[in-house]
Amino acid sequence: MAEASADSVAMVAPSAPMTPRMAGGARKMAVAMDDGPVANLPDGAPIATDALSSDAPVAPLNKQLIYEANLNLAVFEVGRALDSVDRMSREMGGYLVNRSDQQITVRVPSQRFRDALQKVIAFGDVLSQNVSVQDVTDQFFDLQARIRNARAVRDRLAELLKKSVNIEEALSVERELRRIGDELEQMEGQLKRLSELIAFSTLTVHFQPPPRDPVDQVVRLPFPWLGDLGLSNLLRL
Amino acid sequence: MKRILFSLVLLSSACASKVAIKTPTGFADVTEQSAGGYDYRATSADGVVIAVKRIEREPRDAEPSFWYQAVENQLRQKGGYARLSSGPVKSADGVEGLQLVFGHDQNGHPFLYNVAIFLTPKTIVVAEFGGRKDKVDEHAANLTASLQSLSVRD
Repeated sequence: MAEASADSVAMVAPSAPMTPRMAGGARKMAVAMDDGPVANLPDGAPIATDALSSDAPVAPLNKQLIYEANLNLAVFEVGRALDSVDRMSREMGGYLVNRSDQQITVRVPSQRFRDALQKVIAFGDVLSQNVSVQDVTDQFFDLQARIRNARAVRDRLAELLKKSVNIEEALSVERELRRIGDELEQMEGQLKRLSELIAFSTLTVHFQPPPRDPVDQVVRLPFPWLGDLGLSNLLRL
Repeated sequence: MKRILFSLVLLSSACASKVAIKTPTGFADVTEQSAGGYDYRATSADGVVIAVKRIEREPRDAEPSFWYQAVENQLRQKGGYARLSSGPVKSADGVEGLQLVFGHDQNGHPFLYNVAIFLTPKTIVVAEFGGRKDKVDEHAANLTASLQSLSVRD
């Protein structure tokens, strides 16, 4: 986990050519910004750079990044603000993930992430914000390579099945085909999910009503003598 | 001559602030000896106290019901008093008012607090008496008589 300014970060659509790589865990970089400027966040254009280091050279294209923002906002009318976030995400081509009384999670196209963040900030008083960028390039391309390999294996097994000379051999190949098929399905699902996370950034907005002047439930009239009423004063001779 | 006039003015204001009320039998007028901003205060030896306070009626245009409600709210909502009863009351000089009776428990002992509010064009007159319930009950007749003797006009 690295923390850095996000001014050198941008994103790329998941249209990269398949480049087999060794499996590697996704790198996640958090950009915690208490009332920080949105100006440091990735702009709309899908240009990839290396992750979050101000002195990092411009990295080769095809970086696969997942953007996620968590914001705590103090607002006056929570319901109205929740509606605004929901509407904004839909207007940007995104969608609602979940919504409760105090929290909403939406997903917006990655290219509109910065835009969305700016809009959300305008809905209330930002108490804190945390923007994380997860580099899933290795994971993404590794998955693609494994899928490609699995498909090749599946095709070869299919050929073998056609050429099998006895039932025993055919059954054995079929078992292997099923296993490969299951694996392939699983990996394709993972890739689909990953692509979706790359294509759409997640914004979770938690609305926290600001500490307000506590409103006294008891009426206090501006007549001090009323406060003198009662037994304590009466009986204190 | 000027000195006489000045003395008269002083005497007149002293009289104006003096509350016309009959001290209940068995009570002592302790207005001069006690603090608390009361215009009249008397106590029994067993701790029941009756007192009267005159307050400038400001704002003048507030209706009597406003003041009745204000007093009741003050005691019920902030003072933790239970309203036991309320009803009309009339001063000795014919001004109608409202009497509120409250109960209040303290340290396991029930206390009674009675407050009557009268409004004249310029003044709010608040007459209170209270103490431990058993003692107030003992003095009830004398306290009522005292309250009925109260003159409130400006």
